[in-house]
Amino acid sequence: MRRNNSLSHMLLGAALTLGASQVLALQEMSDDSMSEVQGAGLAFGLDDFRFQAAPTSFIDQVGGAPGAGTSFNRGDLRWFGVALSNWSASEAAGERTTWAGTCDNGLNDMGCPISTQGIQDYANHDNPFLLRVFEYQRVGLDPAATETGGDWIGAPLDANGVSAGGVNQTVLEILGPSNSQDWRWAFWGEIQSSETDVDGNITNVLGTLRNQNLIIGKPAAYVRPPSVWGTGAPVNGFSNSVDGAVLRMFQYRGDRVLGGGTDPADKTLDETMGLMYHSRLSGDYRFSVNQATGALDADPVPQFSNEEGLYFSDVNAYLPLGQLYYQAIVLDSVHPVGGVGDGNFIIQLTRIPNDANVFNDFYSSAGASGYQRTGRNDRYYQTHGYVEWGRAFPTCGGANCMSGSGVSSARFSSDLALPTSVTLPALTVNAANFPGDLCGGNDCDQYSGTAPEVTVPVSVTAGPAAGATSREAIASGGGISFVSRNPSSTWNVVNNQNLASTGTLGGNFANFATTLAADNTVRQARTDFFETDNNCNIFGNGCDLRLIAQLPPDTATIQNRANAIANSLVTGGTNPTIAVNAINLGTARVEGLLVNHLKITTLGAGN
Amino acid sequence: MKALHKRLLAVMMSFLSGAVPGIALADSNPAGMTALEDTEMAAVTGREGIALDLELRINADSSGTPLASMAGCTGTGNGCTLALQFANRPTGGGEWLVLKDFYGVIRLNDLRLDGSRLPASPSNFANPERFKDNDGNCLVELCDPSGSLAAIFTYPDNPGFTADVELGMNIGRAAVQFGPEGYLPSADTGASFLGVRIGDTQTNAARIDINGGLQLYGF
Repeated sequence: MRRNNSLSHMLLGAALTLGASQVLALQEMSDDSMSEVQGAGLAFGLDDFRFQAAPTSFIDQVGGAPGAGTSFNRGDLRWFGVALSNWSASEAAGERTTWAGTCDNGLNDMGCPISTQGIQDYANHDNPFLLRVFEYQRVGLDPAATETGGDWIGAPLDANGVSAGGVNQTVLEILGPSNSQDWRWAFWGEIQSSETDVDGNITNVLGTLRNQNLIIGKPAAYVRPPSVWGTGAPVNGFSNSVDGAVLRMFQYRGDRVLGGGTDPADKTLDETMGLMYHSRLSGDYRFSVNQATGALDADPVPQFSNEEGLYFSDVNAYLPLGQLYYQAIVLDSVHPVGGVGDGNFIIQLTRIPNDANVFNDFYSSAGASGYQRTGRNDRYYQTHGYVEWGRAFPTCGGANCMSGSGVSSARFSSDLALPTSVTLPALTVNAANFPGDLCGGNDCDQYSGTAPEVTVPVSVTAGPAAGATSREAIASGGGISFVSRNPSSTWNVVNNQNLASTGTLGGNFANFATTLAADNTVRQARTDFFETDNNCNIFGNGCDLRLIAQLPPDTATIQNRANAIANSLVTGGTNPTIAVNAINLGTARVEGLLVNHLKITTLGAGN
Repeated sequence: MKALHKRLLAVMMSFLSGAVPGIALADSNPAGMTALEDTEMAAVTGREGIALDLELRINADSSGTPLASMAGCTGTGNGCTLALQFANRPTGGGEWLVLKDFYGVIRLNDLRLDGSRLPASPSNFANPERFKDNDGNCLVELCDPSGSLAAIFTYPDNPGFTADVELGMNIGRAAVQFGPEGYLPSADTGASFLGVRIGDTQTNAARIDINGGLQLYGF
């Protein structure tokens, strides 16, 4: 019991409260304002919210003795320092932090897991978490049904979200914000594997993997796959929008099969608590394990390096688990036919009933000859989930393929210093610096001036070197990528792994600028000439030609030559081995995601 | 979830203090509570807000250590259990989800409750659809709650890390037990499919720093 000088403490607390600028004094409610409250919903808004567990504070999923007859070891999972904090593209460097030290912004802004600032726009007062009871008329079991095999009644949902002839039930629901800014969610974790005695006590720790997990995103995602339906502007008449997650609790009524048996006599009507969760997530995710130099697993709090990791960027995911009222997440126990179980537990997303009314709503392909790419109705996109990792997918002009805007050309980053630009220093125009027949194919007689410094971009596209880019471009390009701990840490990848390697991708660019400056075409692009005395005869003799600087130089010609020379310096053959320090693993998408039945049964209690 | 076994309610609701005059007087006046005059009652407005310290212990002392009187909450059949039963789970006379070796402590330090109005203007992410009934009618004026009254929960926004919430919890084992009294420790066979702990490697209880405010309102 905390005795705590309570009165003085309370008074102090009240005084501090008064002093806090963001909190005003209680205000009296008028009868009018009281009468406005209808009890229709309870709203929870978050104002500048920030949640930070101490770096050493954890949630631990405690392992136990492995199941008999398995080769498993004991596993323990720990989540440390869970943090929900702000993210802003314009945030100050001083706002970024980590659990055990300083950090750089890293790649794709994912070097720092925590901000010292609260989230400005999450669960705003006019888009809050909402707890309410609501009625929905949906496909459901005929209320008269008392045994298994009862009829499921109701038509697929209409445009107003109502199932004609369906069942009207009351549900308790929590609606998440339908949209918000992107913000940081992070924790550092431990995955530990151990040997145990028969009671599950650890006798030998085999290994511990420490890891860092960071999401910059939000618990909301597009209603339809954005790679197909865009991100707002109408596509085929539909304007895609963002929606949030929802959790509903309701009375589930459906078939129950005892103990996995097949005897119909063992089936009873299952009326129990049902949950439905429609998950929506979007944003970028980084999973990393590399600890900064000097960090040890024995340290209470690890310091992770700034760039290494597996990156998932531009992710959108909608996962519907359950549908009112014919599919729910229910809790159950293992119970063999006619007896009690062994103590194990079941979480199950129930199998959808074998009933045409359910199918018509769940698959939402009525009127079509099976699934089709076009002409799907709104309900289809409610019952079918999707996941997209990145948004760059192949273009498709066919009648029955998913559309896309084209794949990324960024393939890898390597420690091979391929030039991206080149600078030619200013150069005095004289016979030594500009030799040869630069005066219209003739020797020059006079020289004057200085060719100015010139910088041009360079694109190395020679065969397997195409697609080389920066580590930042790989990590932020959208899709799945892996980045090493630093640019000099590389691993080797054969350009086309179905063919033998023809060497190692390389190239000596140390003298690239000198070589370029000495190229005759480049010299011509930097200079001009004229005849000083008009004494040339008809054979071209007796001319007095002067070479001068061309102002400005012909940069287009210089760039063409720079590209040609740079590409000629690339070595390694047609299919080289490439030492990469970051690699684009590509994009991926899952569409039309249906979960017909999911059952998770624990095993540990059966020991 | 229809039952909680009494034995598990070795719950020590240890302290609840607030700037509520009745409680404050009871705590500071050893002679007991005294009546408030009407004039004093009339002066009570609660305008200064409320500061709360809350400590809740279950089978544990103030440091979060399991009670010796509960056998340290270890071993088959110890009394530190929390049992849950869900609707229509009657096999074997009753299916009980029993959380075993269950103990913990939670402290809310200096939680402030005050009242205010919501921001006067719509935010960048306003969603009027949230405030409609089944027929599409607005349940608040213009489907916009901006400027409405709300209760505000905050913790002091002190510099650095402040342990606004301390939470230590141990569920050493969990299993389903059967029978009308399947919730009893005597039904424990030692089985377990899962354990969960919340804590801190340096202190017993996990520490959480919370900044910003929670706006609570109804409509």
